Amino acid sequence: MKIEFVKPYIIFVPIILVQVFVIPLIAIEGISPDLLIILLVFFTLKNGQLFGTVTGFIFGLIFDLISGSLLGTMMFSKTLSGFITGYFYNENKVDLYLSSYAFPMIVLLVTAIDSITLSFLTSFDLSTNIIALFFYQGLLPAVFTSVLTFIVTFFYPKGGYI
Amino acid sequence: MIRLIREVWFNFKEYIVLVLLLVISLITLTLNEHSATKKIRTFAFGSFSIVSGIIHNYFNISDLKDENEKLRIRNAELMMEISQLREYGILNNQLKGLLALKDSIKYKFTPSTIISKSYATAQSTFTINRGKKDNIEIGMPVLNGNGLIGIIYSVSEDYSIVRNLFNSNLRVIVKDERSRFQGILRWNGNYLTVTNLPKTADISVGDRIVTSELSSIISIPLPVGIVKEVLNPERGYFNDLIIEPLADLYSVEYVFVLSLTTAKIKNEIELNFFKNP
Repeated sequence: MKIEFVKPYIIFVPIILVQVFVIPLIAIEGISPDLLIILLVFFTLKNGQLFGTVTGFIFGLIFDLISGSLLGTMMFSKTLSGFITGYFYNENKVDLYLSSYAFPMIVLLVTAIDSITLSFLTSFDLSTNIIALFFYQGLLPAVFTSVLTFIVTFFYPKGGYI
Repeated sequence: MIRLIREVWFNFKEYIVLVLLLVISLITLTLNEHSATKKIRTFAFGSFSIVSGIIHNYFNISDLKDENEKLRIRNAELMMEISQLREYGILNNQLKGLLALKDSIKYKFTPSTIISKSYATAQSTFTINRGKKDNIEIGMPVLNGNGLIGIIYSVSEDYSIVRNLFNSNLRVIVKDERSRFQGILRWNGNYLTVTNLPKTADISVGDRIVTSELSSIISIPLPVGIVKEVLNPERGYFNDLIIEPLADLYSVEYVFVLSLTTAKIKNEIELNFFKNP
């Protein structure tokens, strides 16, 4: 088994602890960045669409189990996120994507889709204001996550070693 | 045939896997109330909570000094209040004696600490460090000094998950404390709302919203929030309210679980959120 395929699962453990204990400290009015998406996008861009889809599913399953949220919601949204990220996969441009503004832009798009899917599954009904839902639950967390992604881009070595 | 299957797999494997995993996710969604699913979830969050508890305790030590200082001041304030309330209590008992009324209800509060908070916007939950060992049961209300925080949703031996007010699956019958009109409290993803209020209901901005005796989950009036805005949709027969919760759910750290036994007979008759998550 390629070590590259195991890395996201090893990194997943500290990331989930940071997400649960540190991220709430920087949350603004309940809107917080999603580190799992950054991790998922990062490794999907390196390993491809199929890997991203399966990894998204596993990340979602684990998070659903430990967070006490409805089982299946994160599984669905993260699977979709992994799959969509896979469309940006290009073997020859991995380092270019990860060390440029392209990475935060992909994260922005994927987080928005992930958040909107999640809110449709959990809180959508006929009386819901779609624009407000899109803005508060889709765009704001996506922008927050995307801003945080710039840090990863900044520290990512141009040659790439992760 | 095998060659065809191989060819299809080779060309469409990403889509096949996607559809398969999405279908599994949707099936799992429908199995949330299955007893086996509940057991797995309880085991998983219980195990994670042990780790959360250790980390939380480590981080928490530095805050204890400040917390102690605040508690000492609060303690002094409460002592003054108790003294005043004792006076009222004596007077109250004398008046009740005259009217031949008796106080028969006493509730037990279990203090607990929030050791982790989920970040899902519409599925907000807290994990607290009390579980079955502390006689915590599903459906018990969780509150702090300001008001209702949520309701116990899942319990393991040492830990419990609380569905808080910012969870779209939590629905509680509430009423306007002043005008006594009843409605259903729910989180719509953006705001805490009270729905199903008649348009003729006498509601004003600033009214206090408390839980209603009609609720099969919380049958005593616990403070929930203040009316922030009265929405008046042109269509339909009902009015909606936007509520500002009294308890600050973003910064809350310490809560109490109220040992309130839910009315089983009422539960059988009424639909509540445990049956329709």
